[in-house]
Amino acid sequence: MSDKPLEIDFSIDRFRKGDRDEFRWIYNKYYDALYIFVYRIVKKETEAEDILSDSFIKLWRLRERFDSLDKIRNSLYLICKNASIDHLRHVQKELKALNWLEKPENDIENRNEKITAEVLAELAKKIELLPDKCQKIVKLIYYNNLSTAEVAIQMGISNQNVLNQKARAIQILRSSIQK
Amino acid sequence: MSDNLSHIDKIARLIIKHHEGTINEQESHELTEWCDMSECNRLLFEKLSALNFIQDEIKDLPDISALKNERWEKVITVIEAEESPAPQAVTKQRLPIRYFAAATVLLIASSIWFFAKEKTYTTPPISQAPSSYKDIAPGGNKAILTLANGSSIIIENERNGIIAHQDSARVEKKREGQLVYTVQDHTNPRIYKPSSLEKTYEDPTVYSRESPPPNKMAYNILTIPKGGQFQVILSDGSKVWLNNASSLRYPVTFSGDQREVELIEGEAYFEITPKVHQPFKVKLGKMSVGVLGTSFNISAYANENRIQTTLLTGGVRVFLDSTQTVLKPGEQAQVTREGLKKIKLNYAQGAVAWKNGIFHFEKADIRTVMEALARWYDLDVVYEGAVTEDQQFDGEFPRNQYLSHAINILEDHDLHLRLEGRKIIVRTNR
Repeated sequence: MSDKPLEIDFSIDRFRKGDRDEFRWIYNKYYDALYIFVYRIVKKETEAEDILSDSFIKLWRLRERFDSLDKIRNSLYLICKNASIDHLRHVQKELKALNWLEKPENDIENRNEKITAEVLAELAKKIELLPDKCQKIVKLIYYNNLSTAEVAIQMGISNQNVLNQKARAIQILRSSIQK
Repeated sequence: MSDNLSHIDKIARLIIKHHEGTINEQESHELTEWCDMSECNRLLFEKLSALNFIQDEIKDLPDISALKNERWEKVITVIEAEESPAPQAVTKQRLPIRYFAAATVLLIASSIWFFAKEKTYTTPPISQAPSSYKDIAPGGNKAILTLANGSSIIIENERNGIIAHQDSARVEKKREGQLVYTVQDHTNPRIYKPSSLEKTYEDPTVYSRESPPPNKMAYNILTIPKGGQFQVILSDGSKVWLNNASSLRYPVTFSGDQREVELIEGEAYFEITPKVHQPFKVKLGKMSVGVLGTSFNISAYANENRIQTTLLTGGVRVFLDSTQTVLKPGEQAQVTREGLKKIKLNYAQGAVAWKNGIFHFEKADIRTVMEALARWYDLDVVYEGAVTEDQQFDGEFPRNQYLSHAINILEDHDLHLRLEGRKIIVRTNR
């Protein structure tokens, strides 16, 4: 996600003509959120990866049909969703638990799932961008719910050091958002 | 449509800013307005701004950026395969498990050109392949190995030799159709770095970085597609022959007080190395087979409504829930919806005829026969008209023949079979 118009470094014409760099650009741009979108449905890493790969391959096969990046992205969401539904049916899981799947594409819950995926992808990416030590501390604090003191013990550093790293992480997270 | 996406992006951006505390007044106002628009919006916002929701969701995620790059290679491989004019070149690549189906089609397509000589194509149009062939080649030695880290290797594309290192075991393709696990020296687990590993997607340091985790066993899965068969020799020397459309999960080395593998689906023949203090167990859903050292066959295809365990030598104990039965050589345990029962076979060898390259049918109905063909020749079976269960087939014919051979035999038995691509249409004469 960026405030800049998305099309800025991307040429739909080149993509349609089969330029793999443009394809890679699309892949890199949309992979994370789509992955989370699919993962939240199928709940299995390998399956989610397979669905994503298949979906991008499908997109490539159909590339000549698209005249805008928005259509590409919408199609990716749709292809991924349908593949996820197929997967659930295949493993004979009840779709009921995820009843939004059966609703039309423009349904509000569909939209909500996409917003959720985009938000999670962005947050996950920001945490991954932190320097190693910072990242480890953030993960221990936020994912594992450890206290400052527990993190300090686990990492063998002082309480103050943990607090400093945490402050630094927050600062980096913020500045990356403002960019 | 595009309104929808820019809306999604905008709301996502506002929520992130809110979450990180960088939202400004105007944006905050926008977000509040959006939340006030509907209950649904407000609930979503509350969910996504709750730290514990974010934590729960993110902490289980794999490293997406790493797998994204890793997967890109595979995507490109598939695309190149599709766009390459020479389909044979394709199958040299390692493909992820799900693309195997596509690769098989290509492989078959290329062999079909050879046999459909009356039609000549300068550049074979791959998409038209299914409608142009007249006969279907038999299955062969095919298998996909899924390593402990989740990456996959298509074994028939590998040259003979060591194809992977898993934990403290070496995985070697000894000859066509055989995979061998050997426990290697613990003190120096990674002496090899064969060139064939360079293009795999596993991180070779994964298991060597630390000394092998004692209580976490590394598992591999060997998956045999339709039209495939394979033999694996496990690290304890036990041999397992896997029939078409089957899948076996096993630890790369056995530790603890028992050896346990799981037949995820399909059919397998086991020859188990006796180890008195470490019994061998095959798990299969609710059923399990416990053995000391013996040879037996398990057939468990989902579309055949029974699991058959046939004992050839030694002794096994078959467990189902709280019931169990002991088999003697020549006996078969059948697990059906009704439960577990034991029968005595006249010809137990029939159960493992597949391993010796023979289709063997005994009082088999048409569905059983057709399913067996479908698994070996990779077909979809369609029945036209009423299919009677009362017509029974007895007999044997070789597996290494083209499909037409089997069709000819069955047509002598009052059946009409028609092939459309990979679909075989069955019509009875009655």
